[in-house]
Amino acid sequence: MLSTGYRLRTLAVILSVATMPSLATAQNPQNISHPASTNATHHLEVKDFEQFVPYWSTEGTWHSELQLRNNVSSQELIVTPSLRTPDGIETILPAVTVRPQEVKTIDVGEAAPQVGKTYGSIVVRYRSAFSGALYASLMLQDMGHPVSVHLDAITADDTLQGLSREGIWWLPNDTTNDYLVLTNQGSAPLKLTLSIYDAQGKESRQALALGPRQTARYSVRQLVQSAGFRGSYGGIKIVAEKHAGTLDTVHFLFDEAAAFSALLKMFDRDPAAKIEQRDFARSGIWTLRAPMLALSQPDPVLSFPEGTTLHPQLLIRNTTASPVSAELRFNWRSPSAVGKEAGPSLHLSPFETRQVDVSALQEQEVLPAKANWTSVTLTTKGRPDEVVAIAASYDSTLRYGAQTPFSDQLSFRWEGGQWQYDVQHNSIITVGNGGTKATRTAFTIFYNQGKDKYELEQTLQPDEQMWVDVGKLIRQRVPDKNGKALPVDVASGSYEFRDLNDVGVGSLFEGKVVYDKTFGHVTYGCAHCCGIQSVYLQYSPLGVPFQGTSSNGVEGDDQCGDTGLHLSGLFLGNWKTTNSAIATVDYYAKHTGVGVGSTTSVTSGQISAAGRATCPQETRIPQGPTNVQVPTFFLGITADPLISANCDPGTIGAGAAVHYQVADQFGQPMAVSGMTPQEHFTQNGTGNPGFSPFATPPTTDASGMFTDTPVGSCFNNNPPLTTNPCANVVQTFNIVMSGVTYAIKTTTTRRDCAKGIRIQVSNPAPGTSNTFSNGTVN
Amino acid sequence: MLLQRTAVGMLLTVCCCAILCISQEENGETQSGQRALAQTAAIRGKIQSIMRATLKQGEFTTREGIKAYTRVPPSNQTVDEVRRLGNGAIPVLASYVNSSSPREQELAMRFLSTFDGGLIVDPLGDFARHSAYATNRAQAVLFLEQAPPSKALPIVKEVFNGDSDPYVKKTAAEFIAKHSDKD
Repeated sequence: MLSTGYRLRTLAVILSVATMPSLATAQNPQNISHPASTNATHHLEVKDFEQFVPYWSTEGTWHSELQLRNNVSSQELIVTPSLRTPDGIETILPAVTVRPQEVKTIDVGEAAPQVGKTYGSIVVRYRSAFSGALYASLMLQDMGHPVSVHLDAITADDTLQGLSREGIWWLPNDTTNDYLVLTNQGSAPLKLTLSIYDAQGKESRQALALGPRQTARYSVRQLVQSAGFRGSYGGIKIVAEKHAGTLDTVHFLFDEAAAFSALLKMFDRDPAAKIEQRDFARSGIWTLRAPMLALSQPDPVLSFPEGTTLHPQLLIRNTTASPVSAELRFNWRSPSAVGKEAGPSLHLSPFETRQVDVSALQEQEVLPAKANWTSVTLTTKGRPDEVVAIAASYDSTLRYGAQTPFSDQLSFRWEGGQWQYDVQHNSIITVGNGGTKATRTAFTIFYNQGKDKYELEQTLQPDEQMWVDVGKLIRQRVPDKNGKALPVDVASGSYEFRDLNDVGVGSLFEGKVVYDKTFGHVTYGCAHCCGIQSVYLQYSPLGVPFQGTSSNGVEGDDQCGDTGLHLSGLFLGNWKTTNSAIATVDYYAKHTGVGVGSTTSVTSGQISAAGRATCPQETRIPQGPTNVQVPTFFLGITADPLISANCDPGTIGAGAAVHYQVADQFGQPMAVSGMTPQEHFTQNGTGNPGFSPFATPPTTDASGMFTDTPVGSCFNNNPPLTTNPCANVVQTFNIVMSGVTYAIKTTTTRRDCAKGIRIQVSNPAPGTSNTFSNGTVN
Repeated sequence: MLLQRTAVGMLLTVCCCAILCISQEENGETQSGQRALAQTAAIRGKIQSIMRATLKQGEFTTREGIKAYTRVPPSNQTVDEVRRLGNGAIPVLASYVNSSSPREQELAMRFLSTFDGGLIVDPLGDFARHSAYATNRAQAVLFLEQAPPSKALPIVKEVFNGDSDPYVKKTAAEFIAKHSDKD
């Protein structure tokens, strides 16, 4: 068996040193069949993409700022936003160029004064090879009031059916207003059923219609009153009869008098979703997390007035017609300690919404009274999204407080939006390990329009969180892993997290709050998970020498611009070949060539995919051809002229060094080291017996290449030649691999002259022959 | 006195024995050296004969009557013949670096390349650094592929930095590019 490192490498290595001219070629060397990359079938395709922001408004004192972040680190992104009014009429705004990792902001009112004071949705369009090249969001603010919400854009997916939008309504006082916004992203009308539930699960249902691209706005308070429901919280369900993947919804509260606002996150629920698709930690149970719940005693960094006491609470809802159970866990932190505590178990009736008073848990010393923050973990044994939850923490006036969204998403890469730090603002960002193993985490802050970065790395144990106070990093000039500090005058930027141990799935969850010291208001923002958009075999086709071995692997591109990610570890143990008489493959993708010919290699594994608004776990089955190779051709790649054919004193002759690539029966390069090429040749029709090793060095390198040098003949030059004598030399070949000799179908025909040389490397397959010449050849 | 004489006699005896032993040892070494020299001479003669025969195979005459030759790689049988001479062939082949015939140098390197990689580093290094012929210096760099990269790379870097011939430099640069990650 040959021990080979099979790699279909580019042949450019021998062409890379340009100081020596190569011999002129009669045929473009590009016509020689050899792959430019390891996977001949994988190409990045540039496409048009759209994302949709569900709501904007410039009515009254409302102000909308569109934030656009370019997630791709290597190229600029041109984004064209268009405003849609409630009736679906579109106004295209000027295109914006966003640099890598830069966040560009657009004042919607200023950008389109002609649209007038109205509301609607936004579509942002861009062209890229990566679906997630853009992270778009909208900051909606009621100017002059501490009222702001952060809305993320998502894509539309008309292939999704049977989804419902699930939410929780909450009316914490009698004066709070709310908007339930329904947006049709698509061009087909939507027939909708809107259900409002009271806390016990009693339903009030109505039918709605939403035209193409239209936005409709409802008041849940009015819907609750119309239904005759009592209480301050309950459930919302919206079902689209068709085109469910083009419906987006947003629900938020605002109360100018109370100086209060809150975003009540809504969830896509697919009743057919399986636990495996959303069990990112591979724990066998479905898990929701809220990373940053502010506890009763607020962190001083939030700058709330002295003596402010918050009332942290959870609202947890059963979205199904069957009873469900849920468990709660808390990972709290105080200025000096962290800890874990189990919370209550919940048994929820059909469609019930339950309030969990976390401040009471602190009073009962389930959680320490001095703890400032906790992450909340909710687990169920049912299917994903059978339970949804929101978390909120406000003082009794609702003026001071914060929220943290629940999500089940763990990812290997998160691209975050805008952080702020100035006299009035600060940002706290957290990343946690939701997995079951420790993982190395990289946190990067981008600033100066994405051109500069600040990098931290930390190993996070399961449930552990990295907690980053951006203002503190700037003020205290905390050096990053490279010893670099953030400039003192930096005011905003973007950020990202990466799981360095588990690329392709990952175990990181994240959270961010930006707080405004003027009003004591805190707004949360989410980052964008980057799923894997394409998975492919590392080598396609894979060449395996007959009776030798070669290894394959799996690579992938994520939707945010990283390519060639090594995903092989996620696909181990599932490798097969469709014809084991040609090649067999082991657990680690090591292939053994047992018969000459072609077969197909296939494997499967779970990756974090690029979903509509999330990155669900999906199975991918990459496959590609595997060719069990026997050496069949020598491809003449290039030739270098030599001073002479190594002629002794008194003789002259043109010389060359010819570089060959060994190719298989399909004309594909064989990247196998240790093969011994042999030649038989005749000069002027006279032959020498047998075949002899002739390459320098005698065996092929790891790319399956070898050099024939010095090539040429020397002619007596004493007395000095007055003519240009020539000789015809014909080289025929075989090659020894693993002790077996294989005939080679290539013939090299040379015309060796005193003043020049012509070398013709001939192969039967079209496009694989090459001629090199130098000097004068008669 | 007798005791003294005896002691002196014993001392003389010991000294004589020692001188005799040393003399016999020197004699043995001389014989051994002579044997080695004879062996080397035999190897040298055998290699000269093989090289002459191999180079002869490449000779021909053109239709115009001009004598010419082309490179003929040694057959597998010829290579085996050289290898059977053992490691003693290595210094003999290495000495061809001083040959005035570039063809002989090339053939000597080709034979050297069939020996164990660790043993050929220095001889091939000599060809790479000191051959009077640029083609052979480049050839030696190519043959160093057969040697352990950790030993060959410093030599090739020296060649790259010290050789002014563009083809030798190119060949050395390619070697370095290929092996620098294994340095």
